[in-house]
Amino acid sequence: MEGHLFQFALLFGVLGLAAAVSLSVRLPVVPLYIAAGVVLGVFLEPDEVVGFLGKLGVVFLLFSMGLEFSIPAPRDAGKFVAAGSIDWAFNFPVGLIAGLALGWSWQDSVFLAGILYMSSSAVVAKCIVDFGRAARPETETVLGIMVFEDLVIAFYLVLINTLIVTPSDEGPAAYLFALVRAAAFIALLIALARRFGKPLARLLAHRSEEGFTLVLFSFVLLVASAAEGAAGLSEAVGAFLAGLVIGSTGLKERASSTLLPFQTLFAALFFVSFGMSLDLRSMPDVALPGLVLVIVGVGSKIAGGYLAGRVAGHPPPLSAVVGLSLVPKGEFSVLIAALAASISSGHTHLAALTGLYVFALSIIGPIGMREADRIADLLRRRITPATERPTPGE
Amino acid sequence: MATRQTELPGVGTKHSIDLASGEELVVVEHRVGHWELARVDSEGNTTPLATLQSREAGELGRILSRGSISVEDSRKQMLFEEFSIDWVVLDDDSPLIGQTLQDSGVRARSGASVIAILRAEGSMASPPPEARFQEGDTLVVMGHREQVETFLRLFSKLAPES
Repeated sequence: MEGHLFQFALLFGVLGLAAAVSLSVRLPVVPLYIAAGVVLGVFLEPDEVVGFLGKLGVVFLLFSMGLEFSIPAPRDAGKFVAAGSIDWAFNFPVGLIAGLALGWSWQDSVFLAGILYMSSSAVVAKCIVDFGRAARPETETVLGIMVFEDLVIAFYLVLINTLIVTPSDEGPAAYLFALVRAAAFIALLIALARRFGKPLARLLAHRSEEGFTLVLFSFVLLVASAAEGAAGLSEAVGAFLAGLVIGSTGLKERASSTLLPFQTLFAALFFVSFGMSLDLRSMPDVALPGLVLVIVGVGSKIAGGYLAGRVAGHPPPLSAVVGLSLVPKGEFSVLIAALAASISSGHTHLAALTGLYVFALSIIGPIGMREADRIADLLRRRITPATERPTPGE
Repeated sequence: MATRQTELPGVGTKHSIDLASGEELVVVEHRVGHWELARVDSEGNTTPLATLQSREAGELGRILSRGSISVEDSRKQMLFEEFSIDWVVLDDDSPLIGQTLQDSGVRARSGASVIAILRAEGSMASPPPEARFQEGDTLVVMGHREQVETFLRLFSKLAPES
């Protein structure tokens, strides 16, 4: 037990340092947690307790994503779907093709496609606030694409869990059964939420702070474990669904503020244990494909975002800003990589590559966002002859 | 003039007003509690105007909704399409003190009606003509916006410098 206490003291100390560094260099904290994990992995063995608390971190991350999730108003939905589909069409197939080109199995390539596709909505939203971009017209499009991506990842997680992770004996019947079971579970949960959502909210609302926290914890973990155990879905999908249920009851704000400290703590442990699981020896092997992936991934995000911006009706410079805003990667790519690593030991390259990729894009992405106007202006100067160029404002 | 409200998931709520100049005024209400004001021209170029903490935003809102009267935080006010109801505290230098409702001619001079007098000793709804104003009274005044503003200018030190 004493060993554990010391281990956690060390872990949280290093993570706190990473968080402080992230604040002072104004970069997202997730890649620094992973880097801290890589360094700690040299001295410490990955531990069951850390792993379990990290799993709770995933549950809380996905729960708060479900909590925040809201379907956009129908009048805007057309635009979001168009822009989001373009983003998907540019980035998902690229990962699939890249995986197959690297000689990976199609399952691993599907994982890589998800990793390359998912921007980090948390990092993007934070950059938008930090860089004072909230009032700008293209921000609506960027955040609309994030909503679309969040919706896609929910389906993606359901599909990879039912089709890749769960079936033990392959064959159409097993896949069909897995899909039907997952769909039935989701339908049942939605039906229960409609029927018992209000009584559940009333039950939770009148509790004291302790009561509320404990009942909420119990509910989230119950749905997560039911999803994992009974429905062949992952605990992450279950937590997302639990978030959707609570988010529709009017307890959104309270649940969010109650769980935030736990989410911060445990999610940090998830990222650090992902970092600890990375094998430093495999890094040289993935450096070259990693560099190619970074170039291809950044390029296709910018190109897809540019086109999505144009389709949403923005002029070229703002469309370029949309493209640059979609680059940051974060928690979801790591989540997918960890899931891939958990189902087979043959995925060490995928995990190492993702670690490298997320690390690179979490640095490139926010810098690209901060300098987006200057980069867009540079692109315009290359295209527009100097005589026609309008004098820049301000 | 068209106004729109859009959700910015993970950030807050965006309110936009199309201005007569062809520009757009954007007000973003951040989830974390501050407000951002910006001007967007027809080509989508954005000029940040100000970032306000919630108290500052509240003060700005009160100023804009009332013309140019600066107000205390505690004062309450209700605005409708055309008329407003306002709560006015009578200070010691108000010309109304000591006069009755009838003698003061508030209705004739401003057009606004005193619909209630609130005081510790006993408030009056629909005060009778012989009701006498005292220092510290809170008057509930109702009328068209201009009438209430005239009332404030004539009888309260909260009046704007015109």
